[in-house]
Amino acid sequence: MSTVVKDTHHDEHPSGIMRWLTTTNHKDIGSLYLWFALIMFFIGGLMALVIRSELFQPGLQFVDPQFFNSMTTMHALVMIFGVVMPAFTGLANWMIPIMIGGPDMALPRMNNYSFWIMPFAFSMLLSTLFMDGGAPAGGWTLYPPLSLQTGDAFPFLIFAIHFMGLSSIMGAINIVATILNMRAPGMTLMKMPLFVWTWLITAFLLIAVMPVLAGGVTMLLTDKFFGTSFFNAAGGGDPVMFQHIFWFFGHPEVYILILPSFGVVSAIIPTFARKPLFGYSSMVYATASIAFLSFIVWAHHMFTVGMPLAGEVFFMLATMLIAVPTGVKVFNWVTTMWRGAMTFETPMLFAIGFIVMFTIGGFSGLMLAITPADFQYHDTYFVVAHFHYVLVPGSIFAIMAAVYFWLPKWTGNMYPETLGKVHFWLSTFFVNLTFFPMHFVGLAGMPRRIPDYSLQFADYNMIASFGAFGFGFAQLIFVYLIVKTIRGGEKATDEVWEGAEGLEWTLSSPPPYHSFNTPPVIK
Amino acid sequence: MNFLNLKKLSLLIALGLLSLPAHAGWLDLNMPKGVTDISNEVYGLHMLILYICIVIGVLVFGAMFWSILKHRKSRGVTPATFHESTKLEFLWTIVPFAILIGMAVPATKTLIKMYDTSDAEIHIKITGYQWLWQYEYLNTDVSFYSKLSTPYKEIYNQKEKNINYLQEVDRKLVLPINKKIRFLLTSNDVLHAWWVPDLALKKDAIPGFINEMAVVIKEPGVYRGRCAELCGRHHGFMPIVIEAVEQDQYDQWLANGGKVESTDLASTEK
Amino acid sequence: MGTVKKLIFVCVFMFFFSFALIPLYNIICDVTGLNGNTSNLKEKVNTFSEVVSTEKLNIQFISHEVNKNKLEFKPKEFEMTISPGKVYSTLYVATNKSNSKIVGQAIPSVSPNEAAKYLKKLECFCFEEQTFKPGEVVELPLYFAIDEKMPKRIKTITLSYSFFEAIDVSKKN
Repeated sequence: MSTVVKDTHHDEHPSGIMRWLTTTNHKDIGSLYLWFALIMFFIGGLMALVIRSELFQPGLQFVDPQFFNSMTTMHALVMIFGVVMPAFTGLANWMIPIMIGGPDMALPRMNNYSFWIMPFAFSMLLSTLFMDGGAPAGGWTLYPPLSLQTGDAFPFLIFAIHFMGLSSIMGAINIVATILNMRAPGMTLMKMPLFVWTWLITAFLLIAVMPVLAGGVTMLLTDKFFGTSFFNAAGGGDPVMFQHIFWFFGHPEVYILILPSFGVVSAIIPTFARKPLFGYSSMVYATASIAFLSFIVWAHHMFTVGMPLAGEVFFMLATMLIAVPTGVKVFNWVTTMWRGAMTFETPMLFAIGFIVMFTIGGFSGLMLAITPADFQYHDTYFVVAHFHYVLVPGSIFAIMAAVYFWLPKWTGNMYPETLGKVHFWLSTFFVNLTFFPMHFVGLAGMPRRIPDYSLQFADYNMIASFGAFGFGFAQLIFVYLIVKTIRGGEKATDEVWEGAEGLEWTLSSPPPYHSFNTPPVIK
Repeated sequence: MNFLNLKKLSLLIALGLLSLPAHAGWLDLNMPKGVTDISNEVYGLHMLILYICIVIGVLVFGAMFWSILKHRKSRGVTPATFHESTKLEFLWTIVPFAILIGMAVPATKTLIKMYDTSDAEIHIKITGYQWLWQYEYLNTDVSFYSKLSTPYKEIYNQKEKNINYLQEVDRKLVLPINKKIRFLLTSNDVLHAWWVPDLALKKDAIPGFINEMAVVIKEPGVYRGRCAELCGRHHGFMPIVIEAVEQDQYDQWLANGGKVESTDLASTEK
Repeated sequence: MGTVKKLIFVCVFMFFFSFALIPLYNIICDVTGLNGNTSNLKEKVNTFSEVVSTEKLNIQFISHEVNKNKLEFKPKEFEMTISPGKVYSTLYVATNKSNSKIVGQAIPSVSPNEAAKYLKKLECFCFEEQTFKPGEVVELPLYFAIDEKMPKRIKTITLSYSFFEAIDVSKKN
């Protein structure tokens, strides 16, 4: 009963809903972010299932093409800004203060605000589904002039993006401030766990590029309502300029979505291989160079807009360069596993699944970098297959791996191991069933973002639709398992995993509400 | 069972596997080789980078699965403790780098060829509209719109879909073979992209701006493509159909002001 | 806290940087011809040397009529064979087919894009807004020259004008 004594001693936090509304505790806010991401995961998932239902067979069966376009647009916005980013921020909130031996985030009050902006922003975004003219349907990339044809939803879309951006920026500032100022004595930068490192770099990326997105969409807003011509040829603007601004944000954003996964995998692989991470410092440098390169490759998203030859060659070379540090990471993970003594609990399975399938996504990314070949791949299902491979069995699998890895620490209970493994194998099977055939239809000539297609694409689309429903239902296991573990189960030890290293495993499971009020001693 | 039968059987099984999804053969799974020199080069680049990826994949995943099989705790191994090797790190930075440079050279060469639009003999302006294409044969009077001809009943599943469902148009773009043709692209409203896989041509049509690309088609035939940039509600319903014909047929078609249906041309020929 | 202040500064800086990208892009376009937009500046004749190159190249004129039924906007001739360094002139013809006044501007675009910066215009209807009375037919002159510094491999240039009606903010929703 020592924890109770501790709690009353430190602060009187309100109970019930007020506790969650007013909390400034990093663990509470981390949980809020994670729950929010989980809910949005199912909302975004439902949208994906609408898409896959319509694409189950050729012909228009269920939805209007305009609504279909809204679904692809909203699915992307929800999954990117509402699932992957908040989930990683949630993990950061929970783990970073603990991992660096600090008592809490550097700016607890702002932490609360940055979370509570999110439900507000997403209510605004989702409310556009019920508006005149429908939800935004111009693609999540918001290319003008098409995005300017959006109806009443347009200002809501722009303000929702502003608020999401604001929330991410506040979160990122908090994380950088925490990492730079709250480390326990002796926790030098090069002693920090890689998850902290990757998040530090991610946070810098967020701070650098989210304002650029905010600026870009603000210009869209003034173009639509205030007669400016930033992207309007009639007034001397250039619609392609928006694409440059968007991808100047968008490419670093892609790494924002994946870098923290590298940190998660770098924590899990050594634990279950019972062997230290191979090439810690090269991992740090590789992450930093990926982040740097992400600023000079944006135009590979727009190879077909008609750039000069020199531009195409430059962006091809820069893009190919990214394969080098990414390769270094994969090689390091494999070498960490080499001659270890591995066991394969659920987090390890998800981490290995991440490495394999993320690498497949990396390969198709390398193929996409080859400009002449990209002219054939661009805006086809090949691209859809590519980015889903890096985002679903990439980022999402890493998030799930992290949840399985730290859930016993957070709740004090072990999750049901067999069920976790079932969840992994079902997810892996269905994710490949969904996305692998997309490579083929893309190469065969199916463009993305179409509600209906020619007959030669029918078979693989049907397979992909089966896969999508399978994957969707498999995620119900995940929810069941989380709820069950929170409610009870076999008690977890403090160390939880046999090979675990790091400050989080020195705390009790679950950790006290306030941890490391006196800094731990770092070896 | 003799050797020959076994061979036949395995062939049958292989064919069966390939045709498992009803009418999808190997060719439907891959990028088309196309009918221009450049599209063949692009196909070659695509296969080259694919093979490079497969080799790297086999090596990396091979090492990983070997380690998963052999270096598991249940086999009673004691974990090694190494965690650094500058030599290895250097090696796997330099080798991929070299491979990539090797890859970039042929890619750049092809790109330079793609960008060569000089000395074209025919100039055609393509304009994207929501949701159809306009073709103007510059310096002639031939100019027409080309839009989807698939009946609504097929789209809304009230009629069986024909084999060219969603890839048929009312007026095809008729082009001569073995002539350099230069396309100038623009748009009337939003962004579109004009894509014909068999010609390895894809470029955005941007309102207020013109883009260009060139092609020499080597074989007569009908080539089908699509709009490849989201352009609104009927983005999926603005296909491109090209009919490549012999020069004299093309001349005849053009002399008729492009009015004779090109399909009639082809049928009288045969 | 110092860190936070610095980070907020970076944010604000990047927000304004996104707006600065617009003029930056235009400068890059002017220098490299990135988007095929020609400079809207009136060139002086003495920019060009007296020596007329013996090289020949073709220049094509095309137009895009955004609303064909209202305003016809066409080049008088499709193609000219010209020598770099020499000044030429050509005409575009605008026909207002509607019953109302049309105000708007012709927006130029050059292909291949890199030729854009070598196309110099001495006098062009595209420099200012044009007004066409109902039923009016107007010939619009264009005086231009090609800089002889243009790479020799470019043998055909296309100059396109898209005529856009002036944006009426009050009408736009």
